[in-house]
Amino acid sequence: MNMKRIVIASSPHIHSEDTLHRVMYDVVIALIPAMIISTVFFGLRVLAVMGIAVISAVLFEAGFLKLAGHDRIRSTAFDGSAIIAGLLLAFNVPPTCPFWIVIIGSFIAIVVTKHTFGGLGYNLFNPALVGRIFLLISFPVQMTAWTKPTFWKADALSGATPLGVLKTEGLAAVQDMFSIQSNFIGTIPGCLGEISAAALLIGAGYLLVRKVISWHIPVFFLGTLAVFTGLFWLIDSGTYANPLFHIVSGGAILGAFFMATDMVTSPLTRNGQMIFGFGCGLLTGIIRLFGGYPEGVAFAILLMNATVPLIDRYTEVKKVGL
Amino acid sequence: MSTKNSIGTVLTEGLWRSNPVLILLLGMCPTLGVTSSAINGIGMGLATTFVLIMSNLVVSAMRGIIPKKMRIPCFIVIIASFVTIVEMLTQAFTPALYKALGVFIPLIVVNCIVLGRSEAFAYKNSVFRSLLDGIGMGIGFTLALGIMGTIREILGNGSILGNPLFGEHFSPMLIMIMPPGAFLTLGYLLGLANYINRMRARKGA
Amino acid sequence: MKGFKDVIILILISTISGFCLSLVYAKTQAKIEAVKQESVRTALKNVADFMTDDPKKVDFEFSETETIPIYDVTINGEHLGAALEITTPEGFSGNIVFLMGVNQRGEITGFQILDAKETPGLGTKAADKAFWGQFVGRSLDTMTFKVKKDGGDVDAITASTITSRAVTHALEKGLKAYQAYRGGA
Repeated sequence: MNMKRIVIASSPHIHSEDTLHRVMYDVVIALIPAMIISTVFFGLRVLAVMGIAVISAVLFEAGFLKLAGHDRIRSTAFDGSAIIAGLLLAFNVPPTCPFWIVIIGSFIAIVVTKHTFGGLGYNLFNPALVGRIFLLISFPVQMTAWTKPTFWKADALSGATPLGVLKTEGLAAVQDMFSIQSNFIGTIPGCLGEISAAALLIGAGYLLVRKVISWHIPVFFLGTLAVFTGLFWLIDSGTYANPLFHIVSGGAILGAFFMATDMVTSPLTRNGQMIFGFGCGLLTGIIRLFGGYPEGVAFAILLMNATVPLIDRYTEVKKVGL
Repeated sequence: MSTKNSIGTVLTEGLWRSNPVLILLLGMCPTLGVTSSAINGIGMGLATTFVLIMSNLVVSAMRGIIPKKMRIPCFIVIIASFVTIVEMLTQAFTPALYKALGVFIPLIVVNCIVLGRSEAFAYKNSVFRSLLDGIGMGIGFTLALGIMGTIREILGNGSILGNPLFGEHFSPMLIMIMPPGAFLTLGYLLGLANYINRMRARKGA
Repeated sequence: MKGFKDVIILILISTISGFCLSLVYAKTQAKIEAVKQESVRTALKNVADFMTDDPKKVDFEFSETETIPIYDVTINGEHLGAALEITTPEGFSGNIVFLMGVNQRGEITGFQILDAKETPGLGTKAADKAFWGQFVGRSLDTMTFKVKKDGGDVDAITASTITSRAVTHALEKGLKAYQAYRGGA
């Protein structure tokens, strides 16, 4: 009886190389340039913020899994998704953010946003962004305590972000204080991970080459933002900033490449992804130009997250032969 | 339906087994709208309890007179009268509460739990049983709103009934006293209620 | 004729309800009026220590588009000061309505927000004495009514420049309105 064992498994039967682990760790690798830039500009505290965010996220994940009576706690907690959620959360807080606020953010991201909805693959909203918005609304003072990059030095000077200056002081003040180049390199006050457009674009390029993300969402996101803000800039360039400023400022690049593209909370089909990107860009533009908050990327992505089931339903590929 | 229940069950039904907020999910509008502090939640609960008890009493006393076809308009007139009375009383005697609850006091008139009890219970039961039902449901509603308000006040304002709990340097989670905090708190309370009920059922089985 | 009988019953119930309501109304109306007046009086006394129980209320036409209610305190022909009810549309979200007290020397004596929809924890701090205390005792001559960021003397609330600016400008407007009112009186 030398029969081969017959393995019975449900579809899909052909496995791709894309294991969850590989995808997740590629994202971490892609974030490294931004981490380095941030550490150089804001000092070693940045590493502590990121470390605490990641460790607390993994601990909350493991703790929740244990409470829920899950088996394979260790492999699930370290599948990379909690690490990325923690890291992206750290990217979305100011470098001066108190550690206890970071831990609350991790709790909201992992326990409230992810596991309340059923864990990995079931969460409707991007965990890191819900964490950020929860913190921003709850602790507005600490979450908007921006500092100027000081290159390792500890004596941090407070200073507003380019978008904050645009909202409260107007366009002329922004042009006095910041150049497009400084926005691109990252020598501006801002969230820990969003300051350097250049570093983020290097990481984004890596993700595109590795095919972890596709171009559809980022291009439509940033393209729509550029067209929307560009229209107003053409009408009145004395009041509205140019589209390039809007793309390299705030969380647009971080959001477009690293958070709007989150597989769980973005549409499945290409058409759906383009609609999703368009919506994110439009909402970001509307909030930045006319909303109460200076920055709208996080709100825009979360609002569009809510529409994903609907988008998926209307862009579903028609099944042939059924 | 509940006509066979004993008097004790009628009274306690609303506390847990048919808790208006946690089990029946009725009266969500004030539950989410006014529970930004414990005192607001309890105040709203008591105002609603008054309307519940009085409308239950009157509807049940008049159940022989109120015509079946016209019962809903009759209920609404009775409920609306008591709501207006509550509004005038709170305005005169507890102006601070009146200001805090604002538009939600007149809105008690469209609170499903009040009309629901008139329709489902008072119209079919004796005055005494309707009184007990009103008290039980009212207390259940007040408890749920009080718990919601307390949780949100502690987390979102760092105080209980206006008394600061923590030091001056404590930063509360402001989002909890804003609308999103209401939804979060209600969601987790419902989850907890379901969990307790499931545990109980498992023990009973 | 059965429907007719139903209608009669509904009318009866409504009539009885209306009658009960009018009873409660009659009993509570005086009390409600008193409570309302008391709250206005308390607010007025909070912003101006020289306030009397019955200040003279004047609707002062500050500009063609704006009328500012002024509570003028004059005892035996001697003017002590006034409380002004100022509305500013410059708030972060919607109008901020507040009461400010001004003494005869044109100095601010107090400040109380009556209605505002500012962000909790940020703009709402304008109601704290830590913020408005810096205006007390100041007049148009002794203070530049601009936040420090704009080259003035006012310490803005952290992360609430817009609310701080709105209140600062509105206080300046109030002082100017008081000057205009006194000049015309």
